[in-house]
Amino acid sequence: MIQTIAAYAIVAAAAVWLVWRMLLPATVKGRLKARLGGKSCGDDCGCG
Amino acid sequence: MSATATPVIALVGCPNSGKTALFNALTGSRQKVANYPGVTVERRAGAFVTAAGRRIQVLDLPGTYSLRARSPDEAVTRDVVLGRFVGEMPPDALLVVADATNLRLALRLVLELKHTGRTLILAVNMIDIARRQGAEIDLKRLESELGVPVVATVAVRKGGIADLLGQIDRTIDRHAPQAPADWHEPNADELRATHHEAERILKACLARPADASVTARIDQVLLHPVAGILILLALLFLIFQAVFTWAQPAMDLIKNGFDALAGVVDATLPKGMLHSLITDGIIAGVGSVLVFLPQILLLFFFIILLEDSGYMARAAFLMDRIMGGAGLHGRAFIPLLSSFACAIPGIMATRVIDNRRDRLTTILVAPLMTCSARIPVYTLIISAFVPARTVWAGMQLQGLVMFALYAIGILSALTVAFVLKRLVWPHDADPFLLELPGYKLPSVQNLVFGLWQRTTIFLRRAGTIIFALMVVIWFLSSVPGAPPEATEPAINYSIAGIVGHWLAPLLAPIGFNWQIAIALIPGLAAREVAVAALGTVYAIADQGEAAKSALGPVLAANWSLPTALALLAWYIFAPQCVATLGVIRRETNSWRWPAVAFLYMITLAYLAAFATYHISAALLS
Repeated sequence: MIQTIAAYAIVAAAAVWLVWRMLLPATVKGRLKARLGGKSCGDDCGCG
Repeated sequence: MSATATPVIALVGCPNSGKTALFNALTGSRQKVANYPGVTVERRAGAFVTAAGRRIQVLDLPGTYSLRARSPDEAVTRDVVLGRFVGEMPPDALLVVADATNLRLALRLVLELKHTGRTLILAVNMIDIARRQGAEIDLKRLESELGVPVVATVAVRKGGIADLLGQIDRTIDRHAPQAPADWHEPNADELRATHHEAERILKACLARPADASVTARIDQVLLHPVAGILILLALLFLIFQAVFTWAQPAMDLIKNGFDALAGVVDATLPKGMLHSLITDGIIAGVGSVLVFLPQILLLFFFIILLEDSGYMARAAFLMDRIMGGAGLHGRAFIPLLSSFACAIPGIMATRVIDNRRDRLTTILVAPLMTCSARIPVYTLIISAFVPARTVWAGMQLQGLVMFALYAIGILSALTVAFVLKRLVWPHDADPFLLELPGYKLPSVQNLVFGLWQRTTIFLRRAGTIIFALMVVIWFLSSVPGAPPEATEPAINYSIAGIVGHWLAPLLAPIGFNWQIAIALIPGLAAREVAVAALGTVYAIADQGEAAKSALGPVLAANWSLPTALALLAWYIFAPQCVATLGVIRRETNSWRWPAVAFLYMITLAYLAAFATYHISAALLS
């Protein structure tokens, strides 16, 4: 059971990360980052 | 000076002027490589401390002959220099790097840069080579003619760096207000005037023109229409051999390392979902991509050597005659050659091509070259279906089929490139202009830094995008698990199994059964994974080589020859590698191009498999 929860958590994290990194447009990411109080330097700058 | 406490200096110079070598000499290991936002132009930034103890930030801008930008790289340089680049601090000073053996081009650039109003320092680099060639450059006169401080450097040996740091200290300390910028895109008259002024300064400062006879003598051989091509082919053969054979021991080591890691997980973690995710998904998946690291490093070792020595421009010139017929740029030969190992480094290597359309064409056709990951699929099917017999002059039929698969891949790549350049982008014929730099010994430091940067870029990708993609593919192939009363392999009950059964009617016209349809889905992780997936679908309990030898007879018993041939045809074209599509997305900074690659490749794969299946069925009936 613990293994299943851990595996699903990793899969969910990977899926969310992929959507963030590769699917969301830079403008959406910028707005989200700004709302979270972080800096935004656009897509593909290497800062994640 | 900018509002930041740390002054920013940007390195500007023509390609091959030794800008990156000077950047490395100044910053050592204190550098960071990323991309400029929105484009796939590399941003190299670093820092160094001057003799006076001042910390200076330094940017290595892409090489350019002028601020009249004609490529994305040159546009980045122009915009950063003019302070127009959003998110990049306007530089406090420009350090212009000039190749002492080819001063004319650099003088034109300096004269143009003076119109930007930025503080300038001119580093006359490779002064040792110019002196060896008999050129005497009057640096004091050059300084007074240009009105810009001039320092002589030999960046690859850190020569003149102390003088340069002192000059930077003096220039930055002066706090001189920057002159007003009056740069605009020059018209023909202004260009001519700049050219005449550069010629005048050159005549005044160069006691004796650089003697290019050594370079000319070498070029007589290396650019010879016959000897030059033969030497290039011999070099390419050496690179091809090295990438395939020299890398093998290190690849085996990495593979064994991942196997050992899987063994450790096996021994410590009880069977379950997490165990399966770590061993079958992460270790096997990421390992199948990381195993190519030695090939990538060897490839970039040769690319950096060829670039640094000045031979790359000659090779591009020679290959342009051959590849130009198919609409490919001369520089595309290295990315395409490296795609025989793996399309990922091939696509990464397209950065040597300046023109965006030429680069896109090369990126789109690179996955058609027969990569190493296709070899397990090809050998499995060939050994199962093609008889091991000699056909002519000692040639083996199996070897001939393998050769034909390679040849079809190359011909397809050339045909697709031809169609793209002649039909899709017919009006984008860029004249092939190339500056042939002087020959020089490659710098060990550049080589080490270059390889280190490629390693970190590849490892970052393997550890992020490829890692995440492998986790998702594992999920599709494993969830939901088999019910307790299940009689078939677990993968048949997974999402991949359900999708495979759903796809089976679509794939039936090309001769694929539902087992093949299911195996193609985990096979998206990497082509060779399909072999393991077929083993799973046909319930082969063995692993590795044993599975392959056990699987062959099973396939021979379950598939017809037309089905096997259709699957070979499918694998020549099919985009069965998400990592490649991910790298196309990263390199083009857009989803459009991986989508285009996926669609055209899957269409070609379907058509080729359909034709192969039906023609071979008709011939065999």
